[in-house]
Amino acid sequence: MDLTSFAGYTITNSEFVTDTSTPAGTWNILFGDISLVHPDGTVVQVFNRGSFSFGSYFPNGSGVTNQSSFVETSTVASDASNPSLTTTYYVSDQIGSSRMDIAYGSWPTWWGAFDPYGAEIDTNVTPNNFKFSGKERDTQSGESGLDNFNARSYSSNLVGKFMQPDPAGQMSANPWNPLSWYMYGYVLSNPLRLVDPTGLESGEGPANNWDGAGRDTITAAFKDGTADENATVIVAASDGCPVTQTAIATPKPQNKPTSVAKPRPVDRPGCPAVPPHPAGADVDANIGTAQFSNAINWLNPATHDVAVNLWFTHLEAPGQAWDYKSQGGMQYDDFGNFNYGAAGAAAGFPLSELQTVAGGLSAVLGTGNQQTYGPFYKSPYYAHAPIKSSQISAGYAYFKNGCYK
Amino acid sequence: MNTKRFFIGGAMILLSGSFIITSLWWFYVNSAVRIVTQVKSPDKAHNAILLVINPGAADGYSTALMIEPSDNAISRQIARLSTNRVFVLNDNNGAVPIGAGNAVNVDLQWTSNTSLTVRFPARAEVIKQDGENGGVHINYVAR
Repeated sequence: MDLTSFAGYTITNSEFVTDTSTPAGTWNILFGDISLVHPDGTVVQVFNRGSFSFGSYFPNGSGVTNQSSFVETSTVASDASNPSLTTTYYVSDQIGSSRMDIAYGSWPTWWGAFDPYGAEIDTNVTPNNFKFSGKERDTQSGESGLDNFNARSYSSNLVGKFMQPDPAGQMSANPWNPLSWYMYGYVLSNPLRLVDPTGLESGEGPANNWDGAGRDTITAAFKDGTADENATVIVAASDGCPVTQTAIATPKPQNKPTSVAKPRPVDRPGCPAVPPHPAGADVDANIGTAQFSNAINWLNPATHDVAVNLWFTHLEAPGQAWDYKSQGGMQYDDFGNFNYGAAGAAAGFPLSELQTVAGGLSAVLGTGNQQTYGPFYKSPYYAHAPIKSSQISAGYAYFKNGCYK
Repeated sequence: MNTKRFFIGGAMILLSGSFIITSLWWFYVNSAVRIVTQVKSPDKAHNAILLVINPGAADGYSTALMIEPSDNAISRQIARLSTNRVFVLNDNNGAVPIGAGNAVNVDLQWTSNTSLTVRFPARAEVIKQDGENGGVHINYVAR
């Protein structure tokens, strides 16, 4: 109901009475959750059924009294144990943290916010214990307050520290990334983007779905910590108003490419088009960087090959600067392959070696389709789908034909 | 000991100066393998583990299934071993949408203690598909 006319007042009591159209006789009023939704989108729960069975009710009342608003009525005794009426869902943000509880009827019953490392801000009462990053938090009286990340426990009160070291030990450390050397660290100190689902490995969050208009699209709905693809919930705008009702099973939209393909220069034959790429990514700049690395390392010819090898492979490694699909989604996979070919050529590597490394890695990891596309060391596909090997070749030609600035 | 092997292996490869060997070693060490979900058999004896593998810039994500005894501690090192995988698939260059965690939408359901049903998009590209692993029979349903 709209409480706008009561702005500025303090609610000290609430009552439910029958509608004037209710005929005289025996009646029940049942209600489960009562929440106030503020204009800024925050939700304060006034009543939670808690240990009650479904709803609280005033049995055996009679007569018609004052006018009131319809809340939720039922005279069916089995509603008390009906799972569809006692189920709540929570809506997650880009790293899987629960941000809002949704009752079975799609109205919000709880709103939450967390600081970057998971400490809850303006704690509101909720029976949901799956909070930061979707992990269960020990919140009962006398419990630890730690988050269960499966392999390890995590403390949001210690600014992002696991309570135990990484079970993989130093093998999990990246020699070129000092943040990974600390065995108690959480997601390489990048908690707004990365998650650690098992306590063993950090990676991209479920989605980065901010739509640019201040709204977050739903990435998943959960019931008791398990994703429920059949849930139907309301998407709330930043002002707390519902904007759409959607089924979670609907495929999430891919982020739109932030740039369009660079047109092929008509006056420079042999120049392939650059695939769509994330904002800020520039194959020409990467070619320049690769050329510089190749040139500067000739100052010490004895270490030139090793230094360039390490520099290039580090940038191309998973999650690193030139792994563009990990920065914006699979729509940038083509650009990643193209850039790999172009920058690899600029660094001085032959095309056959670049293709063999790409195919060989997929063979080592068991992800290459050698049965369909041939052995990883053999032209033309090198165990890759044709689109992937052709993009590497296109990038290589882009450099060799002088198409860059 | 592991750390020692890591640096010795790395030093030997560096001395070789081979781009191919160095790159494969480097990517392998750094390849991102992420566990998406784990489902235990009814008797808790086996664990079906769904992984997402990111090989780096020159390839897309792949989704893989492993079946491990439940008492096995899952680490990134175990998850990297391609021989342990019974089912590997990918998005077939965009033909199949990928979901949370960059995984192809795969459903795992234990129908008995030794029987697992795997449902996956029919248009996905299947790289590997084993019907049995460690006494567990796997039924595949393309939907």
